[in-house]
Amino acid sequence: METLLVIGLPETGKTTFLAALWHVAGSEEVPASLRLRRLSDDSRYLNSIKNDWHLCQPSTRSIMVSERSGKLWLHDPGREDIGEVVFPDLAGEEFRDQWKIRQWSTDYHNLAQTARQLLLFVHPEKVVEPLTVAEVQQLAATAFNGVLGHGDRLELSAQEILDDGESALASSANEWDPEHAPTQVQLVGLLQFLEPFLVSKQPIRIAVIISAWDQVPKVDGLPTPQAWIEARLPYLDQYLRSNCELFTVRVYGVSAQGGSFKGDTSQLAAVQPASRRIIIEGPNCSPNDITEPIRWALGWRREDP
Amino acid sequence: MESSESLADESPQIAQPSQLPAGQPLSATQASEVLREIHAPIVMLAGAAKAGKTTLIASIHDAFQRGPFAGYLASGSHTLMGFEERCFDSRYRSGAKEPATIRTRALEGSLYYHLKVREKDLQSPARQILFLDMSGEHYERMTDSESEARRLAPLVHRADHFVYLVNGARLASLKFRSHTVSNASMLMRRLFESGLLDSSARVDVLLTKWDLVQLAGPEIVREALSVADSLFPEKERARVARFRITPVAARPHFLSSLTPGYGLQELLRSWVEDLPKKLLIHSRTHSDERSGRLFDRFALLV
Repeated sequence: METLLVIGLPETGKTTFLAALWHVAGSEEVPASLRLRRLSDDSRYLNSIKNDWHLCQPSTRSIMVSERSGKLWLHDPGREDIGEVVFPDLAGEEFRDQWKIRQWSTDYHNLAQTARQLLLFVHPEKVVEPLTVAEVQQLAATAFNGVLGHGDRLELSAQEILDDGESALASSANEWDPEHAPTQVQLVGLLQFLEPFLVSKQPIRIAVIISAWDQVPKVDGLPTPQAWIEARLPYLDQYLRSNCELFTVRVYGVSAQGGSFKGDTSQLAAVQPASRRIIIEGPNCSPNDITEPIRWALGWRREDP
Repeated sequence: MESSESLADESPQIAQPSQLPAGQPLSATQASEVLREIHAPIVMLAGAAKAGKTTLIASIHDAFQRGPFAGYLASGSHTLMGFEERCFDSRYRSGAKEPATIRTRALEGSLYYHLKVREKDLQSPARQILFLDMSGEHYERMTDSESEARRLAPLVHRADHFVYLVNGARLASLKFRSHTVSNASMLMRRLFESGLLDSSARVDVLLTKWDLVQLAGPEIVREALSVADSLFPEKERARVARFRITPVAARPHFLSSLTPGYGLQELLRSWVEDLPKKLLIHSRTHSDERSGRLFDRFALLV
């Protein structure tokens, strides 16, 4: 049995990914995808989130946190590989609290010990940027062609500039809260907690999933998922690259929903077969095959390093 | 009493959550544990209150938020939360109108910030570095008292790099210049006379807030450099293994053309890569480094 440790801050698309994965593996609508070998003993949670996915509605999350786990008996039709994959669908709040309160549950501790693959979820619209006050001031000055916040400073004498800079005492309107830390720092923090468990397993495969990939503006197909991580989460990218003894990384852009669940979703729900809604981009990805990150993470794509 | 024990025995076992590392700046004891596992140079930041010590440390962490810095990739840190808390008041999410950094208080004692970096080509293992930050009040007391200087002596001797931050804007300001020069000169004198800085010491003097000096114009820049040069006489520079003066702007004003972390890239590389102080051969052959006048390096630095 393989356990995939799924990491992601709140609302980063973990549950929707699992719902679409369950549908694709079970429906066999996508020719190259992994298939469901047999139904698990308890598929209540997986069926519940899959129903929401079919109806294009957010997951109702009526099931207790402790029961939010998917066990999938998967096999690769082109190969001998077969295995039971446990996909614990932990709430994003678990990860938020790890970063903020510096605690993790015993269940998570056990998962960290047994997991040999990671899926890391990021949502492009939920990214907290490391934007500074100075950068915003600069943007404003540029936007207003040097008029806003610029004039007063230029009218100061040389000595006034030096003394004025000294007297400027800033006061923050908001209080510090660890949730204000940039997303990329929080994710590095979460991965660092796992480092003691990774030493004996290294390198561990980590598939980074950029959710809502259809919402990322693209020109001529760019950016690629890898380029997006480098540009938007450079601190995470550096951490993963520089710890290559611990991690082997692939980045995937995924829209498990295929579009927004807000507003009129009738067109989205009408797509037939339903797997065609799924968008995935990344190494070796066939159209709609949301199982590819799992296949790679499990090491079932042997041609890859 | 008996009944309560009995009740406790019968209640279901509730698994206790595991505590994770706090991510805050390390105490001296915690820093020692890090040093037992790996070699990490210690960079001790000294200077008066508001000289920019904590801002400098925070700005190095912040620079990596935008991409590789000084040729290094960010490879992790034991003090991520501490870095972030220090960066917060300069971030847009703080709601501040002007960037700032929370002050390090004297009661906090010595705080160590940890950084792990790796060359971009990944050809060599990651390197680690510790920054030692203390409230400016300690250095003010050191200027006043020989016994306070002696109290800090072990920290200064253990540091691989002694970095003295002088507020460059105050050095350039007619209003604050004499006050700044006098205090800086007294502190350096105390450091030498108390034997804290000796022939094994590697000293970096950083002229902070250089963005304001630069905004004030080229005349002021020249004047500030000249004042800084004369502040540290040749005979003092010759008493240590290395002496450098570098203008820096950790977090430049938005009107400045200087980039964030200005002046810090070469310094960071040097702090990470230089041989540990204990392995440093007390050679006197580096006269070029010690006698390099600031004016000679001006074209490269500004």
